Amino acid sequence: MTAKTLTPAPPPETPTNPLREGSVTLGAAEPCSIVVFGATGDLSHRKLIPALLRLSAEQCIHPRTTIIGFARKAMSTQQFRDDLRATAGSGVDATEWERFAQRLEYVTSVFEDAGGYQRLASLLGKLENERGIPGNRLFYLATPPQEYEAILEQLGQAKLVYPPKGQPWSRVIIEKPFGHDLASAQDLNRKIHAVFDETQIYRIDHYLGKESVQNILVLRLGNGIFEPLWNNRYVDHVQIAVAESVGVEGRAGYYESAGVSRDILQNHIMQLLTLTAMEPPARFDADSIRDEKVKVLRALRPMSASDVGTTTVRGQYKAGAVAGSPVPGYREEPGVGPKSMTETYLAARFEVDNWRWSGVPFFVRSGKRLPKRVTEIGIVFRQPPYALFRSAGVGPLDANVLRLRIQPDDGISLTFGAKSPGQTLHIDPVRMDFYYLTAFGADPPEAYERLLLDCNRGDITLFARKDEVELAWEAVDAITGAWSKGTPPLTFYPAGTWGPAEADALVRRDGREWLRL
Amino acid sequence: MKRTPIVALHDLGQSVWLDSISDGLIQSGDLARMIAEGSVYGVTSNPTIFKQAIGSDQGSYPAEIARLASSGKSPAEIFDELSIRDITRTADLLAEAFRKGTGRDGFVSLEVMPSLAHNTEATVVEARRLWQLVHKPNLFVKVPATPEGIPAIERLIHEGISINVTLMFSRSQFVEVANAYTRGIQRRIDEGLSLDGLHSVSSLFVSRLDTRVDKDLEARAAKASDPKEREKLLALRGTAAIANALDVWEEYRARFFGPAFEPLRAKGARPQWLLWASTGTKNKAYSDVKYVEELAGPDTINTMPRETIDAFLDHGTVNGNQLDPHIETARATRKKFAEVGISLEDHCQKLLEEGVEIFDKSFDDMMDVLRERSAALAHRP
Repeated sequence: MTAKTLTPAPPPETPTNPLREGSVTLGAAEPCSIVVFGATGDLSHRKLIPALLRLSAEQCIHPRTTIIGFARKAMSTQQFRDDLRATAGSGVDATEWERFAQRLEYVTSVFEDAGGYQRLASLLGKLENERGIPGNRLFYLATPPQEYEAILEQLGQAKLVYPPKGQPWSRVIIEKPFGHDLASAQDLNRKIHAVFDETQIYRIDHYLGKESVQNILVLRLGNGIFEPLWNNRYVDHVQIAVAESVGVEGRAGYYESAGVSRDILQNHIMQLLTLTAMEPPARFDADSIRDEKVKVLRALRPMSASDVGTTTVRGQYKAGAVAGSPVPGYREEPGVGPKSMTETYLAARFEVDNWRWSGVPFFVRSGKRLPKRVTEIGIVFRQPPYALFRSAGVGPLDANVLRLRIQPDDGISLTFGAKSPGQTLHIDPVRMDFYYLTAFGADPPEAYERLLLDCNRGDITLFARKDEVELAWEAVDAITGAWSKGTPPLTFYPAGTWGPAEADALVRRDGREWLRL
Repeated sequence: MKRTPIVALHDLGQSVWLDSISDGLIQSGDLARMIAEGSVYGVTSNPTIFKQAIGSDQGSYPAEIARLASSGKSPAEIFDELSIRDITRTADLLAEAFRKGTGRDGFVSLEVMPSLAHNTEATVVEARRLWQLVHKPNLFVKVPATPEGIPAIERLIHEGISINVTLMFSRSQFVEVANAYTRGIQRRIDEGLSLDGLHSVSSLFVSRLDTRVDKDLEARAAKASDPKEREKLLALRGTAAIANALDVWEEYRARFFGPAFEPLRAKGARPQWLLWASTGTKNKAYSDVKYVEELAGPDTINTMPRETIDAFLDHGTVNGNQLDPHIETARATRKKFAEVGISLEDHCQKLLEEGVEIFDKSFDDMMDVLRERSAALAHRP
């Protein structure tokens, strides 16, 4: 995670930005074959293929890397290429596409058919020969989770996966959701481990690919001034917010059994929380960092059912208005049952019981149909130990807040008090802001592309490890378990508002307020 | 607190608001000081005010515009960010006054964009959007009292959004607005919805009427052959606005402070407070505090520009309620206008049309400024 960019250096005529001097341009990653299971599905069309196309156009993946679609729909390779061309849309450069299309191959097969994997094996052998590529393989499971078992079993039996150490390499990428509770996640891990070693498993949480998320550790540990304050002597509390203004958007089939606890809390929020709370690692490598994140998860105070009742809030949006326009309630959305108890909002208070954080509440909240889309971590600092200005008639001061804005308008801001110009002593809060886009003047690489490339290069730092995933599920299971027994009851909020009143009560009980986002 | 004329007005039951907002006013601590001294109990804004602030190139506006423009925001989005930022900071400064106040204190007003003035649906959508984005209990969303605005007002009150009705000039408009308000309240009561946190004011524009009517009177006087006639016409200058205001005042008292409002009041409804707007003196011949002194009275609000506040603090006088004692005089004045063939109602109608146009132009001018700045800062590769 050094300051690398994915774009070539600018031509000499353009004015240089001193912040970009010395940034290194990546060479192309090792050539490999990327096998996409479920290549005809939504994920593949919408995210994966466009990302690979962009990486290809920017020459970030090796010119001889191939992409092999493997799915049930009967198609020839040419038909596969044409189908993807159609969905790629009109904005695609024709020459770029031609170059990219040459990488694409296709195998028609159902996921349970051993014969299909034999054909895949021979195709891989043939391509590796023809193109002179060493045989590295990246297996991408772009299918619904219920297909994973069959694919993994067949991959194992067809001996398409190499041992973990040495060359050529094989890796597998899996998207979230990674199970839907601890038991299913452990089960899935067992099935994957039957075929792949942990060092070959790349579990994607796309948040980890975001520049602003990677910057959490850079900010903390790359500077001398923040880390000394990053503990319970100076921090009053931490807030993490992942707000969406969209509703369920036609994905009720998935969301009904997921809810915000599985869609956001178990993965994105836990990642943000662990990165914020972790100890500095001894070395800047994948396992040292992930070890520290796991330690935070182990230090989370376990919640009994009654704890869940008093320290969490679960809500569901009802009809309201977003950006002024009326929107239906969750239960009126297509595919949602009229008595659905799925939560679209949660707020919770976590405690990290260790030397660094004891006594510092971590308040998290996330929901759909909130007034705007924003993801932010707020570090709220304690008041000064002595109110020096009270004799001058100055009232209680606003707290210093360090906000790490993850999206949109990624950046960092610090609010502090300054003397207002004038004859009398008057202290006003002021803000010091840093915005990525305006500072560096560059479009950051897409999180997703960054992660694909990291997997190609064998850097597993930005992927979730088995124990991370399982410990996060343990914490979430405690919450969802109590919820399924009605503790606390599901509460409702109008779409377009910041959530149910109970969420305000949650922070106010501790004498705090939600930050304005 | 020092008993200034504005504090005296407040004791009488009239809250003085500042009809101006800008980043400089907030950042310099000026606004906070005025609030602390009891010289300002609320703040109003309108498209012209924002155009002046943003176009002034003062304070943090240039840097903020540059930053927003270079992150690819459109002029409309930039205006949103700037105005909402100023409004929310002002709302925070007024929070204390809101908490302690009389129901007429501690509010800040933000107007929906003027291009929507003749579109009911779009006005409702935009008002909701602003209400949710600002998310402060002491916000008023300003909606103009155009024919299309009236149904929007009823719907928004029904939805529980606090509304400041603006561009109101005449008694007939006042009646329609008050009806829309009470209908909205009644619907909430009928549906068992709470009236907590729901406030409303209607803003009667005062001095603009004198500007228009005085011109009319002078034109007629110039054409008058009879010197007594000319006398009569010229003597009526500077009287129309106050006479009209008192007409509305009578209606206001009957509507909200008489038996008619009792059933709603019993259910927790608040009156839609009457606010005197456009109270800065436009004509140098008149006292610079004319529209403050002559409109002093209880249960009202007066929003005025900075100069008028300063002038009133300096040499304003408060001699009790000036409204009720002058009801008869006002009626007589209105009769005189009728006698000389001047329809105040017609003038008000024209003022409404012009009012919308003026704000429309201000808003467009401001968008042009923002567009210019954005173009100069094309997103760097």
